[in-house]
Amino acid sequence: MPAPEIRPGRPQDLLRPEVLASLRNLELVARAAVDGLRAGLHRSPEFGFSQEFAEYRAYAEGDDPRFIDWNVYARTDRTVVKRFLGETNSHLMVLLDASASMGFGGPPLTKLRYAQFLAASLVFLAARQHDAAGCMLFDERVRDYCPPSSRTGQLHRVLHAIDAATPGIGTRFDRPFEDFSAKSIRRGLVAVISDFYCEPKELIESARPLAWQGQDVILFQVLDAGELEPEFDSNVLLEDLETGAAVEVAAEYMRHVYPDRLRAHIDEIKHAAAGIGADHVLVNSSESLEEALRRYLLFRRRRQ
Amino acid sequence: MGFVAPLFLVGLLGVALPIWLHRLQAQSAERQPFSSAMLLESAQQRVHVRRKLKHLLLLAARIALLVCLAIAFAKPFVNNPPAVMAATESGTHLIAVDVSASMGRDGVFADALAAAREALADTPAGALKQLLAAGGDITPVTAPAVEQEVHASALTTLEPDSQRMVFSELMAAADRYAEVLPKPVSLHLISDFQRSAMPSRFADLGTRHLSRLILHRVEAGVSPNRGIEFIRSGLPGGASEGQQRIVEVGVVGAAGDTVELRLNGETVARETAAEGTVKFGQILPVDGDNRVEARLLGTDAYAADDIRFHVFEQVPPQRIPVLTADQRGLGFTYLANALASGGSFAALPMRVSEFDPRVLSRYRLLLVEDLGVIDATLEAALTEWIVAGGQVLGFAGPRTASLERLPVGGQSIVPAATRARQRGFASPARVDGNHPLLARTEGWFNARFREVLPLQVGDNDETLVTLDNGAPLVIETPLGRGKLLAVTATLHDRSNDFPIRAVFVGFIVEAARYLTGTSNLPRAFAAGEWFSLAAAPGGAGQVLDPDGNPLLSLGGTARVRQVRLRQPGIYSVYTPNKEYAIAVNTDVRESQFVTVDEQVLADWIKLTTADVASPVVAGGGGAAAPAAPGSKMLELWPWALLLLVVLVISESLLGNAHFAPQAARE
Repeated sequence: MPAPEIRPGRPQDLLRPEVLASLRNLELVARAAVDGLRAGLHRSPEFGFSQEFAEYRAYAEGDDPRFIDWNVYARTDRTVVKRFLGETNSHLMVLLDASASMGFGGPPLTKLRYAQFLAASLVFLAARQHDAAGCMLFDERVRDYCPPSSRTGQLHRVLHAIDAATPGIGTRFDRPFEDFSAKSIRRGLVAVISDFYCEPKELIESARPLAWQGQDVILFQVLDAGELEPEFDSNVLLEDLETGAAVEVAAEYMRHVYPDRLRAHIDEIKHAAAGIGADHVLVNSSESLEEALRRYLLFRRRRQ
Repeated sequence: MGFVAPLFLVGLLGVALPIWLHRLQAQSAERQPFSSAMLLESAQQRVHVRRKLKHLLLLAARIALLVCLAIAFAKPFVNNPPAVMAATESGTHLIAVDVSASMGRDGVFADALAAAREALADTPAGALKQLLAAGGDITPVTAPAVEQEVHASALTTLEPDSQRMVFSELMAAADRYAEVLPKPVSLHLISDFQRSAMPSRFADLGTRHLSRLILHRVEAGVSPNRGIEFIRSGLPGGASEGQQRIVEVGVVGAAGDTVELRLNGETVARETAAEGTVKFGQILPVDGDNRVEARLLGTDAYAADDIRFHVFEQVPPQRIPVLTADQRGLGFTYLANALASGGSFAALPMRVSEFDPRVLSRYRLLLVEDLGVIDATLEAALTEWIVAGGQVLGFAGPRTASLERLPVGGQSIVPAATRARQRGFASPARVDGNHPLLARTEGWFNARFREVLPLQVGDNDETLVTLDNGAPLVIETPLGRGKLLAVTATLHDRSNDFPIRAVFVGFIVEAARYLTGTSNLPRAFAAGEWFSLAAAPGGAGQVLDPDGNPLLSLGGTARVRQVRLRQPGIYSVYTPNKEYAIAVNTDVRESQFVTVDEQVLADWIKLTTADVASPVVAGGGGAAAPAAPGSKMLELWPWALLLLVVLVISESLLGNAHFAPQAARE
């Protein structure tokens, strides 16, 4: 494969899968993704809500005199204090599925690697906005947990945890989500990144407690092009990465029936997500990371 | 079925290669990883099963190809093709020609061959025939065949060997052949019918599968035989040791003839024989093994017994110290004479009162006439010497009886007050014949003991001889690297007759050999006997025949335990420790030309006819039947090659199908 061309001044070029595959520095990718996205949207000021002015309030005894707006006092001879939206900063929690099925895909990227870039970008974006960010890696159980925080060094801790993820065993949502619910106190944004090869009902049952906690849940369903549009010339013996079970499937089935069944499955997941007020984003790991992040930001705007 | 070159069958190991390759391929056989099978649906057509079958066929073809290749190189053959067996309508005639040494007399063997030709000619034209050579081994000369010329021409290859033939072995072998040959089977035996070749039990001549026995007696001439019966060597009369030896040659029928004596390849003396024994005095042997060859000069009808071989070892007698209270007493006399009788040992008397234990370091074995004379100081010194490798043979003399424990050995002695009174004599009841010390001693059961020392045998002791009253007679007690061999009887003939029995002499000599580690390799064999290398020190070695040719391969020297000594002469045995010579002579019984009575021969024929079992279907031999020795060999390797070609083509076709593009297969 010829080396992809990266044009100067266009960090978005880094987000193409074939470029991402050659990058090892997760922070670089995340930074490129976020900066590129901001340059593309030309709406960066709108997103800095943590320093945004909210309202004036009459000074009351006990208020910190440092927040008195002296300009207003000079004009109106009244003492008022300035209040900012930054006091209500949100936090982002990334729940990354590191099961064996996420190891499928490519070249150039496996689904897991793509999901790692996506998760890192989300975390980087949150850090830029001074949001607390954390992550949880899971397969059939919680493999790593990094609680949300906005302290110095948190970004690198989370990025390191995400970068260390490798394909594990099977997928279960109930136990990891229960653990997360038990640990989560504050409300915030929960981004679940997975291929969601599970029964939609099971997923809903597992995610419902999060919704009841008031978390804003967004489901990133990462699938490979080889799953969305499989290409087989002949009958083939396919081995389930998680269970090891081998199924011989006909090429005809893979070309015509399987994509329809997968679409139906995606729709069921989407429908189930809507049932608990969650958003569902289908991500094709062969497409640019920028598109997935754009979908995320639109989701954020809608929620604010 | 057999193989001409079975070593090529090692090539069968090559079968592992295709199995391994197919296994590798099977492990990666088109299994593609996929993220999840939850949305997949199994295809109706089990293509991979079909493909797997194709793979197995290819594997089978490749394995068969390699097997065929290995088998073709190993050159398989089968014996006794059923078609040949079925071809005969008049049964089978086995023609056995006696090729034992006695048949080597002038004219006898030529007559035997003529008789064999006549017997062949008398057999029905359509009958199956097989020629056997009956000597030390019963060997087939020809394969079973109808054609008379085949057997007649094979007769010319026969010649008498130097071994002895026994009729019972011939009949047993013929019976085994008859079991697998078309019935009825007749045996023609052409022999001089020596009486010495008859088995001790007449019933041993019986057979199950032979239908008829035809005996062809070959008459020998009436000229008297002369020959050498034995050679003996020894020290001159009265001498217990010395360099000179005398050699006695026993001759028969050779009065007036000259006997030539050769020692180590050189003629040392010639004497005119009188009837009986010819003595050669003042023979000066060399140290070590001496090879003696006695030859009757002149010729007679039977030359095989005109020469005889003998080997003796010339070594100075090994001095064995004997600890005694009185070297003029009977006990010492018995011990000294017994030791000297073997020619290898000589007693060295040592008085107890003058004995210095430091001299023990010069000797391997100490004989003690009465263990009771050993005091505490001497016991400590003896024990230390035994632990370091010394050996003691001791007797329980009168002074031992008063002790509470046996010196050196430490076994408790039942106090005199509590001993049961011995009534009458006791005799040995159990003798451990497997023990190397007792394997060659005979006559134990004739010895009688009135009183023996009542020892309490410990766990560490091994009782070699036990009396019929349960008392131990000979006890072996290992102590460190050495051992104590204790005899609970005295050397005084008042309480037992052991010292004056022949078994005593044999016991003392064998005990001295056993305890000093001296080899007692047999040096005289009859032609055709087996020599056991296991008996030689080291248990392995090389054997050279009289012509100097090695009988064993390099690998065989470490593996083979027994060697057949087929021809007369002096063989050399090389063991890791030493070189030995052994003499092999034609069995003297082959020189006894007294023949079997006509009546006995008639009974023999009757026995064979009466013993015949009901006819057995040809080829119905059981597992014990011989693999039709000497039968016609049908080689199978051309068929294996043909099969190989077919398999190569099949493998190519299957391989092509296997490696064809996947799309094309689908």
